[in-house]
Amino acid sequence: MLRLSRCVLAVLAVGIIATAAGASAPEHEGCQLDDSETQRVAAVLASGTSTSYRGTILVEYSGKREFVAVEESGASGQLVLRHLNRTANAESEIRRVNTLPTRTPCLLGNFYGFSLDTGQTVAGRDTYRLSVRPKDTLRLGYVMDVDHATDVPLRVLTLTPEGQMVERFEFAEFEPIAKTPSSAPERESVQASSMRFALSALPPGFSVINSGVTPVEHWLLSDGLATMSVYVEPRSQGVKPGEGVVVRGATLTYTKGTLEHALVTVVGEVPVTTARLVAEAVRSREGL
Amino acid sequence: MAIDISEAVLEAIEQAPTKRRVGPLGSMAVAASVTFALVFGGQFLQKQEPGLPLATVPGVVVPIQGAAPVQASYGVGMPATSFIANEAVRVVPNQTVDEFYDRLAREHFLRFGRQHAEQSAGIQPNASIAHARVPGEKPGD
Repeated sequence: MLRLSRCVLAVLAVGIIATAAGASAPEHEGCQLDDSETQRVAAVLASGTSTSYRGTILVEYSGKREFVAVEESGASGQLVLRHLNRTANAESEIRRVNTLPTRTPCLLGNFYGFSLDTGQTVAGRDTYRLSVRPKDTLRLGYVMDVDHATDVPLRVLTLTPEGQMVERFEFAEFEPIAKTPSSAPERESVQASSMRFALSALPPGFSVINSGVTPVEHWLLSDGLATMSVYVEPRSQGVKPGEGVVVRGATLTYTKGTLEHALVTVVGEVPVTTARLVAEAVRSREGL
Repeated sequence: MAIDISEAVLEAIEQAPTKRRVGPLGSMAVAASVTFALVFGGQFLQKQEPGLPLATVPGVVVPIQGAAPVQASYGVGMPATSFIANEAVRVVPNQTVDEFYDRLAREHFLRFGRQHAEQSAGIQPNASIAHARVPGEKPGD
C-alpha cells in the first residue's frame, strides 16, 4: 500500500510539476486583476517595508491564543517584539527582516483570486477587506482587514484551500510611527553550484528567491505570498526513509528521509501536498 | 441488489383516477414519506453489505482533542473563531518510523522556524506576523 501511494504521489508530482511551465504564465498575457485590486494589492505588499508602527497583536491557532507586543516594526530591517504570555516580564526579542524581491499583483493573479470589500473596524481603525483565494490546492488563502490609512493588514485569517481557518492575527492596538525606513539586511545568497543538493523542479508559481548553507543547505521558495524554506542535510545510514509532519497554525514542518540518503525539511505556510512535492524534487548534485 | 419497480409504478399510475387533489397537507405527507423512505431505506441497504470500504486512503489522520473544523469564507462574513485540528497529522502508516519523523519534524520546527521567519518576513504583507508565529529565544517557547 505504501509503495502504491508513493507511486501515485510520484505520478501526481510529475503531473503537477510538468504543468508548472504552463501555469507560471508570463505577466504580459494579461492581468487578471482590475485596477482597484491591482492598486490595493500592491499597496498591501509594499506596506511591510514602507510603514513603521508599534502595537499589540492577538495570535490564535489550534485553540491557543497569546498576545505579542510589537515595539518596532519590520520597516527598519528589524523587528522588536515581546511574547506577553510566555513569561512574566518577557524581554524584548530583536528579529531580522530580510529584504526580498516581491511579486507584482498581476503575477500573483495567476495563482490567487482577489476581491475587495468593506472591512470591520480593527483596533479602532477603518479597514477594507482583501480576500485572497488560492486557485489551486498548493497554497493557503487569506482574509485580511487592511488599514485604510497605511495599507498594513490589521486582521489576517489564514485559511486552507478548502476554506478552513488555521490561524488568526488581529491587532488590539496599532499606532503608526514616523520613522524613515532604513535599508534592511542584505539577504544571504550562495552560488547554487557550491551546494551538494539541488531542486529538480518546483511547484507551479514558486521560485527560489534565496539560498544558503547555514546551518544546513537551504532554499527559500515563494510564489509572492506563500513561502517555504527547504533544508537539506545528509541522512545517516541508520535512519530509515520516512516522513513526518507537524503543523502549528499556518506553519507546517514536513520532514522526509529520502531514498537518496537526504533528510529534507520543509518549513512554511503551505499545505502538506506542496511540501511533499518539493521534498520529492530534492536531488543530490552527484545524481544530476 | 436490483429491483425493477417501473412496471408496478406504471400499473399504479394507470389505475389511479386522472384527477386527484391531495392539497398542500397531502403533498407534505407524500414528501415526508419519500424522504423517510430514502433516508432509512438507504441506511437499511447500506447495512445489507457490510465490509465494503468507503474509501481507500493511505495513512491515517490523528485527530487532536479540543480542536474542531470550521468552514470559513473568503467572502464578506468573518468566520467564527475556531480552528481545524492541526497539531500533528500522520501521513505514513508505519508507526515507529512515523513517531520518529513526527518528533524530528517538531525538533526541526524549533531548529529552523526562526530562520524561516527571518527569511520570509520580507515577503509577508506584515512582517510581524511571520515572527509572531515562531517560538521565542527562551527554551520551551
